[in-house]
Amino acid sequence: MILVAVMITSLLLGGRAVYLSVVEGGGVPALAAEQTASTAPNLRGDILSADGRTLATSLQRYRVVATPYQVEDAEEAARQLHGIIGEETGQTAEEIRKKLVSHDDRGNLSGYSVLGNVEPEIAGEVEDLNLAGVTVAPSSARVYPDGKLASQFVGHFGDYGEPFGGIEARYDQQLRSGEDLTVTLDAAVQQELEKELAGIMKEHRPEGALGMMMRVDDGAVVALAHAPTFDNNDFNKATPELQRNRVLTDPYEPGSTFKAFTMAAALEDGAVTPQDSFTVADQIQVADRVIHDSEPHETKVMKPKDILEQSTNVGTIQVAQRLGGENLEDYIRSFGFGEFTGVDMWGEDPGVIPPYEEWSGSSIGNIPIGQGLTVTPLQLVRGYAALLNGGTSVTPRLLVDEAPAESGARVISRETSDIVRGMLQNVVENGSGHLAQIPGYTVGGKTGTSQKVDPETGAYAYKHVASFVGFAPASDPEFVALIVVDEPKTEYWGEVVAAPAFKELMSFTLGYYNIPPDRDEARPEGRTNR
Amino acid sequence: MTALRTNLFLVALALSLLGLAMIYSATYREFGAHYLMMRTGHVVAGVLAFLVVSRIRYTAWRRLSLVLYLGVLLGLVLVLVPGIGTQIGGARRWFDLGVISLQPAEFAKVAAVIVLSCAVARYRPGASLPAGPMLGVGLLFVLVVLEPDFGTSVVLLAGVAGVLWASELRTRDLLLASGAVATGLAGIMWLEPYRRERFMTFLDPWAASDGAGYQIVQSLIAIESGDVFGTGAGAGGQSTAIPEVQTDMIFALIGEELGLLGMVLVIAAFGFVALAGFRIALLAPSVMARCMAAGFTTMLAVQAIFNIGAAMNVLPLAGMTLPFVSYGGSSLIVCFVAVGILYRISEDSERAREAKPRRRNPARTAGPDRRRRYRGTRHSRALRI
Repeated sequence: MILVAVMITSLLLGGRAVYLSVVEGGGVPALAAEQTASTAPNLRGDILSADGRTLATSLQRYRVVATPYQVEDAEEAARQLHGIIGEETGQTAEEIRKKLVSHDDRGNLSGYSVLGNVEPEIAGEVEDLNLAGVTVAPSSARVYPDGKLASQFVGHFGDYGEPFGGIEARYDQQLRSGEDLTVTLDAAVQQELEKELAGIMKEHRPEGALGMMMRVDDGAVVALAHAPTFDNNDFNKATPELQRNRVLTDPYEPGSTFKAFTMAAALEDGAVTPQDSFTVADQIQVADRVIHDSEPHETKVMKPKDILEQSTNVGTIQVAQRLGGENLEDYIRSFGFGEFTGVDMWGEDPGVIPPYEEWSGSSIGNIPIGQGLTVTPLQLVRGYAALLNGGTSVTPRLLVDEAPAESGARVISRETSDIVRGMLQNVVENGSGHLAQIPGYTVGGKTGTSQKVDPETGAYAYKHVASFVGFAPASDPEFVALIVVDEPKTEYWGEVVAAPAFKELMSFTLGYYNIPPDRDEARPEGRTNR
Repeated sequence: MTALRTNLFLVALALSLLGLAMIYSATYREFGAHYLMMRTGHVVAGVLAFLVVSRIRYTAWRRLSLVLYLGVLLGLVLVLVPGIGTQIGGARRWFDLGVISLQPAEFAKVAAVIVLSCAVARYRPGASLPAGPMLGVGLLFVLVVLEPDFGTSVVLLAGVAGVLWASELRTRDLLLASGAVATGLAGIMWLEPYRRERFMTFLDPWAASDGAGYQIVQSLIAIESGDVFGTGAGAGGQSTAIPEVQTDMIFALIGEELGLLGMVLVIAAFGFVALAGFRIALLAPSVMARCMAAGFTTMLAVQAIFNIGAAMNVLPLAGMTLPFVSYGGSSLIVCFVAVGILYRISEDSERAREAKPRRRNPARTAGPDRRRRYRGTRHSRALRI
């Protein structure tokens, strides 16, 4: 009978083993994999900038945990613990004591109470205390070495293990598995951009400012910043407005920066040629509305180049009228407005482009000049990249390893791209964008100044968005950058508020990447550039 | 017989070497070779303990039993004194002697079986439960519970039950006693919240998979990921997430890395240990020897069943080590001591048989007949293998 008992016991245990490992085993790997993700001891991967700076990293920490019903002398234990972890966790002895005697919802002493996350040496000291009911367990801390650098872009990884926004959220899976990610963002350029935005905040006291820079050929995002910003190490103190990646979540009316697309569309379509002449007054009647230019002027004869140079609303509307609203809408959409850009990040807003069927009679008087539609800063930059790179659309890229999408769809021909590029260069050299000029380089760009719509009245309020989008070298563009300033209080013209910051950012970037100057006069006498 | 006891030792040795490999596999990532070196020392100490104990005639324990009892009692009391006993995770169970730390509760298990065996062997068949020895053993049990070390105290009771079952005491008393003990254990379990929680966790570990059920859930995941042949020694990734994997949960690691095959072999090995131990008990030359053999065997078997059962969530988690396999010096030494005593009893019973071959005197069959010992003793509860 002993034999029987032993055999039955063995068989029962063995049967359970068979059941667990073979029968049930098939269904569990998914769950096991999920578990590994959250419990594996490996640390979350780092986020690195393209130039190798650490934007986010994880440090080995230890979690000091109390099991209140096992704690013997809470008073004394709290005193001893305070001596060791008090400073690092910023708690008083009394606060620690309260955690040591915390109760669960049934009124019993609870079984789990976290006293803090501490460094390994401190954890060792806690262990040496050998306090009843106090243990330490491996954990980690997410640290953002340059806390304010690209906070919204990087996103945040919370203390309780959830990611919030940005790269942290979008690539949570890879990071959890310990994979390091290198983003296309260049920390040096990013820093310069943030410096310029901070300067704008100080000088013009706007509600906010943002900017981004992209490579025109492959859509790699080189810098992307918002002001005011926040320290990612103090994420919880920031408001959701600050935490948002407004470059892609908040569409706005682009105003005059949009005129380049109207012009490109008309040229590409053949409705307008560079040699055409327009008789441009300082106001124009469109259906029931009269649209003015920003400043009164004599009626002039203008070529398309002059229309962009002077940024005249009336001239741009005349160009659009030749093209026709339906065609214009087609081109606007083919530049990617009103759609997701395909950027690999969550929270993107596609903006609103009114379908032609919904246009009113006066729509042809505001859509071509960037009103009555909304775009995100990212869409605008992406659209310019297509304008400038020879006419093919790009998909914004955020990761260095991400293969660039195969050459995007052709939006406009190379000839049109070249013509528009020349016109935009002319804007900086002779027109409204002269503050963006960079010695030694050809620069192109377009200013934008739009009035904001008052959300209550639906009418334009006396509040402005000043912006500048530009690129360099204009002869063969490498980078396109956009600066958008929301409600500047001193001046509201894009060329005054945003263009200087663009200039500083772009000249830094060109030097930083050793882009050879393409303009002779900057070279000192007797020296030749390689 | 020689083959039986030699195989018993070899199986024990094999299990302890398997433990060596598994412990290294569980700890090399974090601690390098530290646990490997310590464990090697434990195995050597265990084998030495076996060699020494198996050279002591089992009858010698009768003289040693009082000293043994008092020594263990002293140890159990001292370990509760703050400053002498080392406290880890809320329990005061260890003497920290620098290089090694001793766990007196482990030795208390051995003492309880030996002392009780010596005591009950003195009573006539059918005698009622003797109060003195029971109180003595009960004291050991209480002290272990106070540490607190619930797992070891249950194992101690299992040893006691094994001894009493093999003794010739009155069956009715034993049934009453076991009923009382079962009630008592349930009470202890219910009164201490974390044990109650453990029991609840056992019923549904997934309900608290990141809290109380964490250990069991991780264990189940590890075993399930092992499949038939396992991931291979050292390759287990799931098990690293299990707290106490090198001690209480080593079976989960075996399940993951050696798969179903490994688990079945380990279960079979313990099945063999149990069969061999009880066989030795049945062939034992005296009541005392039979009680000792049954006590130790029951102890090892219960400990193995509870440990393996907890890892597979068929029994509640009590915090017991897996005999021979788990990490823990005191535990391993005590297991080898038990095997050493079993080995010696088997040897002695053979010698007794050889010394007095086939002499039987029908006139002397009444009463506790010493001459009968060489055929193995016999009584109402002894069951044939």
